[in-house]
Amino acid sequence: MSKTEGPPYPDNKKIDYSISEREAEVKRKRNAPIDGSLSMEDAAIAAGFSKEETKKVVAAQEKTSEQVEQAVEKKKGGLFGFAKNAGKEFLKKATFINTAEAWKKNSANQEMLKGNSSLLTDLLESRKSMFEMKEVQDSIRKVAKPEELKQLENSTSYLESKLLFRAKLKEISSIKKDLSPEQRDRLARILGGNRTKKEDLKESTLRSIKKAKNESRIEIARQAVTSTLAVGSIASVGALAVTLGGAGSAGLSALMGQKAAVALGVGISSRAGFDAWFRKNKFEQGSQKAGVGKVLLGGIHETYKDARGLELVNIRDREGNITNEKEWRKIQEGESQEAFQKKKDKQRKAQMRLVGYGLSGSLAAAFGFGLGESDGLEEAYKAGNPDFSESSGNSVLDASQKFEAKMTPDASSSSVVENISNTSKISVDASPQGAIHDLETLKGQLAERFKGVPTDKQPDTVRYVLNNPADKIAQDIGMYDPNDPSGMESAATIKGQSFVYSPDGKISLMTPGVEQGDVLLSDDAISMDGKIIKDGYGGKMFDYDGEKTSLAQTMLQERDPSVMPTGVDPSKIEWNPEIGRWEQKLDYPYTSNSELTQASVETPVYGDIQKEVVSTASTEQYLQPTQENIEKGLAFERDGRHYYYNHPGYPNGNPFGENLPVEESVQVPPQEAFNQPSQVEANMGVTPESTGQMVDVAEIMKAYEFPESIGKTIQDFKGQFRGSFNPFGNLTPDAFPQDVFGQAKPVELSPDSLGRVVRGYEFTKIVNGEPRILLLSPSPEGFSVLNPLSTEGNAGVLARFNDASLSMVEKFSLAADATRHFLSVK
Amino acid sequence: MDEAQTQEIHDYGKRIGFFLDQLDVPASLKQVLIELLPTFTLEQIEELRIRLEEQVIEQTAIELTPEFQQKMTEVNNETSGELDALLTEIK
Repeated sequence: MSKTEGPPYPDNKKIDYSISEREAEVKRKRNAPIDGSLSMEDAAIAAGFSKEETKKVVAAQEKTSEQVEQAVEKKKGGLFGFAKNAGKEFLKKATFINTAEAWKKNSANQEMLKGNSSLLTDLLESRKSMFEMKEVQDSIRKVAKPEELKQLENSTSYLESKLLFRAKLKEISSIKKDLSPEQRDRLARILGGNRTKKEDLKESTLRSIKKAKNESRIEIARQAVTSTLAVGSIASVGALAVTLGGAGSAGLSALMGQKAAVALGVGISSRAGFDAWFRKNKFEQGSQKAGVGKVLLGGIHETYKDARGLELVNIRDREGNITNEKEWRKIQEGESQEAFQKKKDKQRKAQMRLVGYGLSGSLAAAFGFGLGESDGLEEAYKAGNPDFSESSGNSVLDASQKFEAKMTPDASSSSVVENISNTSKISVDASPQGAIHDLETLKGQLAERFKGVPTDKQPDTVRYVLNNPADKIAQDIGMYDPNDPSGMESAATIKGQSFVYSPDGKISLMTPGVEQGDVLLSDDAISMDGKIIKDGYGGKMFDYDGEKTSLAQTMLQERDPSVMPTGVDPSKIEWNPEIGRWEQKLDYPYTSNSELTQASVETPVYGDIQKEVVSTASTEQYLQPTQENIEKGLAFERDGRHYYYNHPGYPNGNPFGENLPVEESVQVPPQEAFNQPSQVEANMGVTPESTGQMVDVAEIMKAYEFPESIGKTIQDFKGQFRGSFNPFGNLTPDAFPQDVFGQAKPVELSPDSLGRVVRGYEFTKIVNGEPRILLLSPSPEGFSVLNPLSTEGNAGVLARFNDASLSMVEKFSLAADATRHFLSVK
Repeated sequence: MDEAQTQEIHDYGKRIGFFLDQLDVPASLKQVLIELLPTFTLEQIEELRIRLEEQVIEQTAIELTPEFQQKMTEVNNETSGELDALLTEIK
């Protein structure tokens, strides 16, 4: 525990602790530094001392000689009146509760402190200061047992470490945007390490608590939480635990909690009160009226400030009355379907994210969303979402549910069959029971329609449907995959859609407002032997049964970044250092840099010069600029320099003559030469279509923020990048979001490696009279990143990143790093 | 819904918010719970509230444990040192 100097003492002036004065004092305290310099008055406030108590101390200093002596003693670092009491008060819970209640009743205090988001931090700081006050420590030492003091010191150290960590994190967060990719990666590792260790410690600690059946500790914690709730405190749990841990008394947390309670001016009503309300309403169908959800979430917002994006929409109440005019207008304008689809997508994503997070066993169990539990979160999600389940819960936020119930035909109407004739179609509305159910219904209608029709006269699709069970049909056409590793095994149909059999023998999934349906089954998709040869369904999937698959289970089990979970597709999961868990990959693939480097860098393989790219210094043929070598675009060496011909950027031959300029400069092939699709196509075998997925490399350059010290050279390169990488002007700069680039990692290219390719996009640079060339070359498989050509060294290595697992982003990031390295070579 | 009942529900929300605020899990995970909340029934919300409360109590008990405090102090200080090194490098 760090020690600090005793606090400065206040001037001997009378303190009028009227509300306005106290307000000023508290405000001043908030701005006090974390250095133990808390004044006695501040400390009194922080300790929650009453006006009378504080006055007594101050008055005692001024009115009697004895008290003057005491004041002198105080200046020498001796005990101060209320500091003595503070020590005792630390150990008293009842005092805290009473004082807190008194504070809470003061509306001025509530108003003054309400909504001050920085207050909790300030309170933590003030608590730290309090512990560091010598007077307080002395006082505590007199009343506390040695082991309690030890605990207090440990707790204070713990609190200090948390504060320090928090401060550093805050500092680094403020400059996060300035971090390089390497530094971001390092930061992620640091934070991930902290989180992982913390979770490990928490788990082992909890195990030891339970093993020792240390119910008292749990009970103390329960009391702490309950007492905090009782006074409406919003103390941070860290502070709660620390202060509580000190001297093993709930009184310590009390002081902390009191201030927080005052700060937010909240008074959560008693549990008994809530229970009464809940009992009354719990099983009362129809008790949920419009506005309940809004009020509830409003309450959550008040105590959980970080909550974002809560939906407070109430469209219909349980009786079906429109309660929100704005939403009603949307319904009128026909926008509701899209709106609700978006909402459902959002919820599905939320669900998957939750699974993907790999809740730890303890957390999952604590939430009651553990694997295999029938009351799991997914179950809850499903139950509350009428699209995916028959469950009919009285959801508190029931707006969309009620609305959709209104909009959806009753299940009995799903077996609508149009007046049958040989030319009419059959339509079955998509139901909440899912695709298999609907296909079964459709099958029934088809059986009715083709009753008595010889099998060989039936369309292939009809014959197939009638001869197979609905679940097999669903699997065959891609609407059901029980083995999907992500658990998204069922097709997500939406209300309003319908399964339609049309007279041309096709079965389609029709969506309102969309003329062309999604063809699920056609004669073309059925082989001669009656098997489905291609999937028809290409829509979204979701987790119907709420059962987590082996993927999720495995991810939950594995918490070691070095151990790849077994039984899952490695390409579909990734280690998330921030949460210390394996999780499903989300929107983009990502491979760690080390893996990428080892797996993807290959030695010479580039078109027809593969064999020739070896040690150029020792290969005789390179010394001869024969016509054959020139046609192949091979380099030759003369007087210690390398030359090459037949480069598309140099239609007239070797750009490097005998008289090379000495000064550093940039020589870039004419941009026009690369912007002609025909030439690119001819030389690279790249068609406009195949380059349509490229991104604007200028954006990457921007993301990498090349050092300005390189100055104009950089700008020239950027300009050439822009032109060279956008030969057809059809690139989409927003194809990859910035944050993807933020996670791209650099690759270290060997400075003395020698790359040499005579085709592709090229950048040249003259360094000390020697040509340096960087080539970023497109190939039919995608972009290849090639090392800078250097005349130094003779490794003759040509690196190419043609691994199919690499995304375009990764290749571009490699290109950027290669360029950066190239530019930095002096 | 009368005023008293509204207040009760509001307070109930505050209680849930309080537990969410206290819980030491990534904020994004809390956000997921918040996003899913609108799909819950009353019973499920109450179940969530109970579980959250239990979790916060358990978490508090853990943080009360001296051994945890000692070890976590070391971990935090180590992390702060690493962050410090990174900050120094940046500056």
